[in-house]
Amino acid sequence: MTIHFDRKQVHDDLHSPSAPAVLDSSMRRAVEHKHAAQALIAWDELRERAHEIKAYAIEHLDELLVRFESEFIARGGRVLWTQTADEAASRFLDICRTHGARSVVKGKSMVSEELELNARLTAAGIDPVETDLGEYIVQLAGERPTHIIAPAIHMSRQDVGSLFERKLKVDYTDDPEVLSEIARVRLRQRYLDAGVGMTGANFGIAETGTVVVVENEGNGGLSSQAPPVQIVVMGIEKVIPTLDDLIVFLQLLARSGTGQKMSTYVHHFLGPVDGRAMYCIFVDAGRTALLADPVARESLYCIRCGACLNVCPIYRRVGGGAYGWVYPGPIGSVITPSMVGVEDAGELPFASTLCGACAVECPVKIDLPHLLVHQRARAVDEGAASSPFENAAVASWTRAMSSSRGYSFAVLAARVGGAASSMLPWISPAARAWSKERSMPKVASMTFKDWWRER
Amino acid sequence: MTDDSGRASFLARVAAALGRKEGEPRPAAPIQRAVGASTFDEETTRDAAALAIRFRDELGLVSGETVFVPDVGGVDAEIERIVRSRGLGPAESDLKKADYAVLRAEALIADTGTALVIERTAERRLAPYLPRTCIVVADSDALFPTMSSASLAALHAAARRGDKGEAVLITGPARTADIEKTLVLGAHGPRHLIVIIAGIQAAEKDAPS
Ligand code: SF4
Repeated sequence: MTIHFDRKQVHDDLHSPSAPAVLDSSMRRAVEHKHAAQALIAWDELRERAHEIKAYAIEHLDELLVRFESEFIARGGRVLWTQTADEAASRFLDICRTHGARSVVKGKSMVSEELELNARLTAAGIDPVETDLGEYIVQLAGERPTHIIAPAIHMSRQDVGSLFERKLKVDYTDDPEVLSEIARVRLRQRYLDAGVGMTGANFGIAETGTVVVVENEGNGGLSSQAPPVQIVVMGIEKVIPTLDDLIVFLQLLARSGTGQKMSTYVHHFLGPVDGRAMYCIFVDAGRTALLADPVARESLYCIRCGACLNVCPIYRRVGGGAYGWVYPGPIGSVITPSMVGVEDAGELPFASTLCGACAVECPVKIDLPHLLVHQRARAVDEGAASSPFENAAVASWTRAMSSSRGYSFAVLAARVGGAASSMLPWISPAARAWSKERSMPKVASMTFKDWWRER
Repeated sequence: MTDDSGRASFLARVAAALGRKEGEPRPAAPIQRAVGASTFDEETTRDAAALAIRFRDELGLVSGETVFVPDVGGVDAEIERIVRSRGLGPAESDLKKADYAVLRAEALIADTGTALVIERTAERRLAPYLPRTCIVVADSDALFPTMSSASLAALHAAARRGDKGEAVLITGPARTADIEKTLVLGAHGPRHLIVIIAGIQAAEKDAPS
């Protein structure tokens, strides 16, 4: 698997009339909501606390995992430890087979995307049913989520309307309320019929061995509670020490993710009631590679709120699809190279302007720009950064900047060219697509230096 | 029980990544909260009437409703009134067919309009999610200002006792914004959430908070 920052996709997205507009206005709305919700509390103090808790939890991860395990077992659950995504999916299938499950209802889970669980289940003759509205839409469309908390953010209401019309044979409507009701009615019986219910985990509490899932739609409650067998698929970085620590994250997560003060549901799974079974599959899948890197380790503090995506100028223009793997945006560009290998995804950290907006937003204060630079350095050291566009651009910039004459020449050339946009199209197809959609600012007719001298 | 295959090597990998020396036993220290005291422990007011109004206002912001009744004896009559005035079907033990479910809250958190509900049996486990209307009943003693160790004490206790089932913090009716970030109430859970707080005098209803 090689993961490129997909310029073809950038190209397509820029030409799809609805995508960037939908994305950008949705993102703006998300950011506005969030700032309103954050105004009311001691935001920075909370972020500081959250950062410290995660730092502690990650430094003590071995202890916390073992403690969580023993508590979870005491609650009547079983714990499985899996090294790779492939192994995790296999063990998941084993559990389904043991219990004779024909279908699996799924709450929203990004780890499940890492496992490519839907494909694996389908291949095994087991029906995977996504129940989060966004995930349901994406599954119907045969696509992948493009945002970690709003999976169908790239689609307009009209897109969803025609998808439902086509796939569900219902009358066309683009009313979100009616579309949501259609999904609700379709899924009701699926919860009750499913042999296995699967969720991810927002937090695992070591002190109590309880798993915490945060959601708004009620599908997480139904997916976890309706079927006779419950499986939690959890990345190891989700474990925090105590219930009291959880309180800090609950204040931050909804505000950052959706601009709510509190999410509608915060589920705590206490243990299987009579006749039911509960499993936890711990997934490594590259997380220990992040853990072993003292710098990149900080990315394991992430609580997957999606805020860094919402403010990222690159993400806002191109959307999640262009990043080529499960986690898009700034956090995706940091963790993907370590999780799937620098050889395969070393390009991703270059898809950033290092503007720093993500670091300002991150509720656990992850220094994302610093981590992006760190991952760039690794990619270059390991010879995996192969971006001819970037190399050429950087090389000519370096040439131009290395002497004042070179700089003056560049300025002159730009002025003579009238607008820089006329020069860009020969650089690369991506730049051509980019420049066709927007006009470049005109270069001033006089340099600042000249202006200063003459005034 | 734990499946042993893979466990030892998994934990060894984690320990190695953390730079632990080989064979070094990890201290089995008691788990403590990672840092300091919770910022949210500070508010100590337990003025039930003021908290009730704050709870009602906060829950109102997320489209939930709150009604006050003077004492526990009035709860059943209030439920009946709600059922009648909204044209809901009769009480139904089969949750799949029920128009509404009645839940008991073990804590109410005024700051966010949140109810802590713990369902411990197989029959009740879908009560918060299946019916379109969810009625939550609580005593005014259950009111707390903020989410804190104190307001989550019932959750702590349930976890410590080894209770089975699910504890859930509920803030308003179910909702989604997955289509163009447009808010739609109901989604997969209840469309209506009504919290009845017993022990608040009618005269206190509109007292300034
Ligand atoms: S890195 Fe920070 S802002 Fe981005 S998803 Fe993770 S927690 Fe949210």
